[in-house]
Amino acid sequence: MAQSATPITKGAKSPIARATPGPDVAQEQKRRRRDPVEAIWALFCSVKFAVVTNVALAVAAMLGTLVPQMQPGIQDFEAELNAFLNEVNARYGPLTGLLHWAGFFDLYNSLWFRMLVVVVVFSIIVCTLNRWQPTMRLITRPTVRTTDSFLTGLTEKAQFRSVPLERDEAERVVAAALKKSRYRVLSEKSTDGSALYLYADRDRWSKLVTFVSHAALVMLILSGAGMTQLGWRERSVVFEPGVPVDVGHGLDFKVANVGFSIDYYPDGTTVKEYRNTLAVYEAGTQVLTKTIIVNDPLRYNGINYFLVSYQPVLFANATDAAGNQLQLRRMGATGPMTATTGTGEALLDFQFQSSDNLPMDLVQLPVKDHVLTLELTYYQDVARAEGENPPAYVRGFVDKDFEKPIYDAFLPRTGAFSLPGYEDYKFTFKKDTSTILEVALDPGLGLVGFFFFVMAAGFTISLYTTFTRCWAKIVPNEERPGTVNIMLGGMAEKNKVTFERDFEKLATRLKETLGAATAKGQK
Amino acid sequence: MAFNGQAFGINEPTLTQIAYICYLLAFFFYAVHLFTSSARAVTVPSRGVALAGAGGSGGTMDVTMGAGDGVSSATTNRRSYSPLLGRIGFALVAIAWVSLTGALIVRWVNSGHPPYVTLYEICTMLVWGTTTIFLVLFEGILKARAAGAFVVLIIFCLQSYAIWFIDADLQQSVQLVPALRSYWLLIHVSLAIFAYSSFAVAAGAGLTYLAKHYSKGQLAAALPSTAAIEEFMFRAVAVGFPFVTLVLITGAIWAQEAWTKAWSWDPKEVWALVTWLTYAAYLHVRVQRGVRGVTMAWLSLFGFIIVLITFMGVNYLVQWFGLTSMHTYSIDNGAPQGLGVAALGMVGALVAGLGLLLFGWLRVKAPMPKKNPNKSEK
Ligand code: HEM
Repeated sequence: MAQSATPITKGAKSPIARATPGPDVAQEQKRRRRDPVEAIWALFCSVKFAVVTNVALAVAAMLGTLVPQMQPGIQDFEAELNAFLNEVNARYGPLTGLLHWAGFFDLYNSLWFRMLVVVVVFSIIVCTLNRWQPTMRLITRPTVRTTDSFLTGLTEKAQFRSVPLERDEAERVVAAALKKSRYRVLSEKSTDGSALYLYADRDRWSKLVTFVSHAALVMLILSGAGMTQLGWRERSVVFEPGVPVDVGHGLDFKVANVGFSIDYYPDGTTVKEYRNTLAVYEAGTQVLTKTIIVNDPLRYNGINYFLVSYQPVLFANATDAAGNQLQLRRMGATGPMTATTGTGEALLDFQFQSSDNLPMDLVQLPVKDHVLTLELTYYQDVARAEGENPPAYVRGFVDKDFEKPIYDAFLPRTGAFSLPGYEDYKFTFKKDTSTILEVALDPGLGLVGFFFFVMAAGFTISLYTTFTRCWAKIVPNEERPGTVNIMLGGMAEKNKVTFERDFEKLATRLKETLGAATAKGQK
Repeated sequence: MAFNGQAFGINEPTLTQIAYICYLLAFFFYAVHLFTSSARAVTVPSRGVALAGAGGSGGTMDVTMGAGDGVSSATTNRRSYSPLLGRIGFALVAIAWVSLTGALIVRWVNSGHPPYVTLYEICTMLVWGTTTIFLVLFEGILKARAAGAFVVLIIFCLQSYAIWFIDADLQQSVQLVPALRSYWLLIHVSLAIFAYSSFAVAAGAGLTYLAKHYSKGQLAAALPSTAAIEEFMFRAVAVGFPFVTLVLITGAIWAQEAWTKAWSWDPKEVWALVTWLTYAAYLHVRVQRGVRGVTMAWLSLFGFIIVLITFMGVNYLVQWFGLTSMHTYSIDNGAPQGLGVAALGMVGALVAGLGLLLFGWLRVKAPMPKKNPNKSEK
């Protein structure tokens, strides 16, 4: 007998295929849209709105990378703020004021950007809430009895005609084939009892994963925003060698920089790594030391100490002819320098910058009728061996005569230093390093990380699982009594090509079982 | 150790050039493979798995029991040299992969750190990653050789950029600054390479789709069904999306350690976020609205442009717009003269493209009022 295949038009995308066979949700939504509150709700629910806000957020974020952004916290310092505005003024001219007003130079902290984030978060929440019911209905109360047009509209389908089996036996065979493909199967009879409907689905739970991942996304944003409110951050805290620092915020411990070392690459000038040993003191006793590097901060009692940078300092000592220690003072200051060590040496921490942006400082020594001034510029890249004097360039002045230095050269490599004509007064310099740390309390980071992880896992799972459904209808064949016709169809929401393969396997298996049953029946 | 700065007795530049030439040849072989094959010449199962051939979306089985075998995939099976050309293309890509892997290992060993730092290295890693994803996902799992010519074209363009457009001086490896001396460099950038490479492969599938969509005759007949190409594209994005999510996570963890703050709106971070949002939009449009077809193909290309800006363009943006970024370190990208105009053009084009896409999507997908209610759609 000839093959009686009458292929139903192939590949035609049926509009029905995407629709739910159940009550028409879209229709329901359309009716609700008349109420203004409902209208806003519906707006936030719409995927279109979600995508538009998502894109808007992306564009806004992008804009922030096309306009220079202020350093965080700069707004509290008028001088720095003005310096920044002057700088961008060169680029944007008259637009600068407008851009500043619109928050473009601090875009990510601007009100409108935050509002956008709020809208996105709100839309995720609303959208999720809105989808909860229909999704649950889809999962818990699926439509088992379908119409014929729905069945034939499915992209994947198989028909078996004149199967010589009882209806219930056929049901058993079809259900078994479905179960073998990991489906769970439900069945129902038609109202007149003649036809039998089967419904089968797979990976129902994957619909719920979407809720989990989006909830995690919302929590991630909320906890991230909350975190920045609760924590605090001290930028650029200078840790001078050996001096314990209390950063405030009611901490009951102090931290001191007790050691610094630096490694260079073989070229001798490129910094490879620098290390800072920190000691933690509680009530005056040292409780812990840790050597930190840029990628490995100190964490103590929830407070993070990050190594950000370092700068040279000098311990300066001045003596008179009799060898008595003299007190140095910083130029412009009245009293002697206070940051001194136990041995009375003055700590020179280079508070200024030379015209070449090198660390610079000015110290003064009052002697008899004069004041000696030393301007020290520190040349980090000039190599000096261990035990030699630091690579500082000195200009020495007497009194207010700043036009004519009486000394204008590097410190001698070894030995004490004195100014010509004032050989009684000897200066010695010992180099050391201050480190610049950032100290911060970032509460709830773990929580943020947790939500991030849940979200990532959720997205991954929902990308790789597919909610898949099949429907079958078994009716007695009127023309050949004692046989039934079976219609089977299915659809997947994603990964359709894979499903096509799967469905084919299912249909082939069913064909074989039915064939075997047929053979038995014909015997 | 007797490491002599070579692999297989060949030094790095030569290995890189071998790969480059192989890609070029592979492109030709894949292309000729496409043009010489057509639905009639290759063996295509009459229905069912539509991956390799020109099947359609959906399938129907119709069996009358007791009527002999229901289906048979009887297809006339003409011999053709086209599959052989395809296999040669594949072999060339495999050779290129081996050669480039060798080059990168040599570079890694010589410099003592993963080749993840300069623009040249990043671009070359993208070439390597795209090849890897293509070989595993498209050649291996999905049997999507038909997209080969298009993916290899993208790979070839990327490597051309690395080789020809970056100054020879800047192709040298550099020393790592302290902030980069962390195992996170390996983890974070590796993830980024896989993520962005997947998107490159998706863009290749997008090109394949456009070729199918806009061409007629032989080429169109030789390419897989639109549904199949669509799925290749989706699969590649589905590989990339979790990866790019992980890029954001690991980046945040690393930034918290090295830069004291998990998120500081650094340009590179922002662009990674933009990339993430772009592909999230891609997935939503597809999964929730069921948008298919040429829109998705254009979207995958658009997404890849974003990826390129994220991975490589940010370095230039920082230079052009006078920004500060902790991600670009002291890396000089070459003379920026006259590029300001190009930058503005690029940004303009980007915004215009985005606007058009959005506009098109909103217009096309919004239900248009029916002018003639009596005229039914079908
Ligand atoms: C920036 C924000 C968002 C991101 C990154 C995001 C990401 C994702 C991802 C990765 C998926 C998985 C795609 C898949 O299942 O194949 C997904 C699915 C989904 N998203 Fe979002 N999403 C975001 C916002 C939203 C919003 C605002 C809505 C509400 C309108 C929404 C509703 C959904 C729904 C309903 C699905 C489920 C699709 C399904 O599995 O059936 N998402 N989202």
